[in-house]
Amino acid sequence: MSVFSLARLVTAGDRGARIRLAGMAAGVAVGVALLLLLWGAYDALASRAERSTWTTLSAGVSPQQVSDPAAAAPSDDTVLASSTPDYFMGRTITRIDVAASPGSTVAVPGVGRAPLAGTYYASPALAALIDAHPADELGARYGTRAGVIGHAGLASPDSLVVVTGTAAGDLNPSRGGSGADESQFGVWSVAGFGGAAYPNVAYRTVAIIGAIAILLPVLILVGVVTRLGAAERAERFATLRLIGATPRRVADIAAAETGVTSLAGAFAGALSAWLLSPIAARIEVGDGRFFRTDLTVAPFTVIAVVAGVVAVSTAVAWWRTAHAGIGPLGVSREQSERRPAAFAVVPLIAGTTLMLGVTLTSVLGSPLYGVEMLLVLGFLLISLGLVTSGPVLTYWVAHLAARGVRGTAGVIAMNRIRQHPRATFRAVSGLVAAVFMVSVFAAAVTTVTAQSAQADGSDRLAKSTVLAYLATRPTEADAAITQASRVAHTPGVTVAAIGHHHPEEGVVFAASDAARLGLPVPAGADHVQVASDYFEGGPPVVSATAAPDTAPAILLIATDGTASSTERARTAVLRSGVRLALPPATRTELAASALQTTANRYAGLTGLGMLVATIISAVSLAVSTTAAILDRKRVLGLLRLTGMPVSTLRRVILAETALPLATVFALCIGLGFLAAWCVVAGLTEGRRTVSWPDRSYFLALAASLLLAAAAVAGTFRTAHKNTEISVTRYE
Amino acid sequence: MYSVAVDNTTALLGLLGTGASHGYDLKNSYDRWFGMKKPLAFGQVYSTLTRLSRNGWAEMVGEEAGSGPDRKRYGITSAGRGRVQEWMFTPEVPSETLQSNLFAKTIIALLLGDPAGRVLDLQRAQHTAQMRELTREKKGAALETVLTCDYALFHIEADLRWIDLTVSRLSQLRAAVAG
Amino acid sequence: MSEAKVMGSPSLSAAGGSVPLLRARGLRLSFGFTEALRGIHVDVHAGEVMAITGPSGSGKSTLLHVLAGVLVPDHGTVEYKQVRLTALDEAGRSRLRLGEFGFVFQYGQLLPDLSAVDNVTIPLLLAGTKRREALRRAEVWLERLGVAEHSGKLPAQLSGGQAQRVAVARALATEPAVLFADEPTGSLDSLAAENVMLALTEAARATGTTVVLITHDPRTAAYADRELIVRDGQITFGGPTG
Repeated sequence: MSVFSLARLVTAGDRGARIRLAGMAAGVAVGVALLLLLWGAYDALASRAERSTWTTLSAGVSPQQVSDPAAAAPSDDTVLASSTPDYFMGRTITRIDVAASPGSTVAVPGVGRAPLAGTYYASPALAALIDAHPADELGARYGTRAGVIGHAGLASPDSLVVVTGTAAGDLNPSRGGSGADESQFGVWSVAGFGGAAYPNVAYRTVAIIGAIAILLPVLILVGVVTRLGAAERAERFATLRLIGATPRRVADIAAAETGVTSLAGAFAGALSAWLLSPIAARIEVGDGRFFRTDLTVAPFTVIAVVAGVVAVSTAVAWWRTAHAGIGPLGVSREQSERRPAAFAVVPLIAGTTLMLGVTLTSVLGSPLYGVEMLLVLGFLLISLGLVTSGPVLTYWVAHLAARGVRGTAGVIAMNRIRQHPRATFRAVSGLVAAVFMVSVFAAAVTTVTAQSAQADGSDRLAKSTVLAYLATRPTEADAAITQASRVAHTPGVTVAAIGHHHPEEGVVFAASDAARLGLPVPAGADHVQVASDYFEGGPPVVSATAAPDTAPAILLIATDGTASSTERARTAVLRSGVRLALPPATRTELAASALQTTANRYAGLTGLGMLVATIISAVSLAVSTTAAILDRKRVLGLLRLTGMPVSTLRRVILAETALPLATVFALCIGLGFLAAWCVVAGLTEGRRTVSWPDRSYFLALAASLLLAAAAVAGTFRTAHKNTEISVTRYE
Repeated sequence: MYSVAVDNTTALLGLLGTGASHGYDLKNSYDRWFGMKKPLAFGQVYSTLTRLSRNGWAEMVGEEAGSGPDRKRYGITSAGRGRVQEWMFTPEVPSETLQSNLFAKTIIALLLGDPAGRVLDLQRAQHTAQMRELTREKKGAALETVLTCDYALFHIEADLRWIDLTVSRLSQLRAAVAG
Repeated sequence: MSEAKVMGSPSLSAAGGSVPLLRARGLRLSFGFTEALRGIHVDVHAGEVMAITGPSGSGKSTLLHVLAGVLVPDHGTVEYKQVRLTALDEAGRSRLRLGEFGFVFQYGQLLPDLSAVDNVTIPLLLAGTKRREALRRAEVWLERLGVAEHSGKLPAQLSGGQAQRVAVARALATEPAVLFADEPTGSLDSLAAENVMLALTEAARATGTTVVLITHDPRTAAYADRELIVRDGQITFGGPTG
């Protein structure tokens, strides 16, 4: 008889066995579906980063910075381009100005041939914005629309991108963004546009660590569900052993059963991932929603994941059964686990030491070769170490606690943990992994949100005032003043004043302009010096000064405060022809854009990762807790029969969950922060660091604990039902 | 154990209780139920009937024409019925002859339509009382006493098991007797 | 007649006299179409050891569960010390079981992760005894049952007889008024069974604990003062007349 038909024989007709297998398949399905979706999301982050980063001109084909675009006319196989940020109603638009020859062969992603001068291609989301607002607020900035940018040039359906055609002479070599991507500055000559999946190796490292972070809870879930009902199964296998099956044969049967079940589960999971991807695509991460195609994992990957999950679960089932010591008379007595050995904490210590060592050498200025890989290795070791050292730590704590406990529930729970430290820790291991990962991400993300724009105040620069930093050449000084006065006539603009560089610090305004801007002007002064800090939202520091003989530095456009007026002012500045150093923006926009980094993209995934990890771990917890009660169904049932209240049973369950969790909870958080600091500081050689995460992290922690509590509370009913007298009586 | 005869006098009287009968029929009836190992001799039947009549438990109820001992029909008297009842509902002291006697009582009770289960329960009570006695005796006793008591206990237990099994088979037995 | 002789036999000697500690009248209980109890009357008197015997499936375990307030009969009443058990709610009966009754089962009643002495402390802790005091008293009971030397062992390290004696110690540790024992020797060999029953009855008699003992084994039943026979959900022997 083949192994498969034997396996079917053993499970068929047994309702309990069928339920157990269904639970196993469902667990595997959930795990695989989440794995594929998250895999897809990570993959999508990379591929959409690749799609959207073509706007980083330095990443193009043979990029060369051009200082005098008027003199370097584009050939047929090169184009001149400049990339600048633009703002509208608080949103950032990526603007690419391209100058191409009439016969240009350089393709712009999502556009094709570069647009003719005076025309533009906008992303669908931007086109919708343009259509929804008057031209003088937005559309007039770009010219005539020639078309819409296709998927290939966009990160997300929500991306705001515009490609405008321009004459080479109109490109401004002194323009730059204010962002952290320094390479954006100026005009570039490229032979083609190209993106990179990761802006640098640091992000690649972060992505790998993120993948581990997702994989771990999923693996734990699969491990937990394939163990479902191990005790019941052992009984059936004992019968097989009695009628003559060899231990190997029994292991084969267990493997066949698990293999077929997890295959079914994995298929169901792959199918649900595919069905759920349109819904998942609606979730906004970083740059916005995903294109559905982004979330679709390549068939090869799906096959690999399904095959991997089936292979691992089957192998584990075989190994576990072969080593469970199922004799012909059953697992005669419930065996206590071996006492966990102290050396199980070694990976944890090694990982921590490695990460700390690598980071410290890096921060101290002599980074080791292959910092990234060493950090990933250290991270892996810590992740592994948390799982391996959990039972040891749990055992130690339970050992200490067993002496101190007073109540019935405490005595039962502590001794249970002492005898089964691995099993009890396994129940919370998913949660432990989740808390660790969440802490890593939450801490790592603080690098991008550590600063924020300064507050508004009556004497501060209004947030509705548009600042246009100028790159006016000495010969253009007079033209700039004319252009500024044109801007001043825009509806909604109250003042448009040019400030000149002060030889030492700050900007010089005419006293009349300063007064109109609401600055405190010292009596009798013709000109005043305003400290630079004012333009970033600082307090006004104004002093009288001599008339400047320097170039214009800034064009300040105060408005009536409405959003439309601000946008009209911005559009007017962009159309005025004034030579800009930075895009016209309010001080808050400038502050925000200074913080824009690719890390933001990963920050968006953090929340998602937290959610998934927590849900998975809650499921694992509920499953394991239920299993732990079912294993002791008879004895707990008899105790209830003798009069033990159900509340004691509940407290037993709670204590068995709370102790292992509490043991490693603080450790997880601490190690999470440490790992985050190591990754961030180690990769940047100490230029960046981490700080306390914001409130959402603590909310997430609280939520995960609540979810865990809910999972445990959910098992109360099962515990109650399975220890009922009617159940115990007919055992 | 089977060589020891049933208390055949009272058993025959009990059989007579099912209705007046000739000696020959009485012997056949006895042999059917209790004579598997050792059938009753004709002479024994007549001597027993004579003895029963002398005790006033049985009487001749008719004599037919012709020769031979089988011309006489015997019936049970009311004193005889009382004797059978007393015998039936008096549990035996656990002994080696018990099984056959108890069996006889059960069959007679079934034949007479008396509660056979009660016969067995009374016997059971007698047995368990003795077991409790022996168990009490064992407490704190010398090892040889304990061993002797154990021996007796196991034998009584064997009887008890037979009783329990017979109780479980009573309805089956009742059908056989009726048939 | 012979009736008089039976009434005078030791089997019924304890039945007469004082108000019974446990008094059940007219118990009826069905599970689906199966009638487990079909009109049972039982009196249990303080201090006696009463055996309930009968073939398997006769309803004797069900009877024990009804007497102990674990199950509620469809009809009939159970009174314990004149309190009507059948009128209490589940919580009330649980409290009563915890405070007044002790239980010994056939097997598998010890928590596998707890040492013998810790197992004995469980009912004491449930009753609110301090852990230290509970441990002290548990040791005393293990001593009384003759298993003091095994107090630190896990149940898996005990023989069947030792485990049952630990279970008896646990049942008696709260000094219950009634000890319900359901086939306490069911999975033991003769000698182990004898040791458990000796220890159980001695300890119970020493503390004046009433014992209700369910068994199908006549030698175990022989440790009782009297015996009830249950057959087909009815008492066929030894019960009160009404």
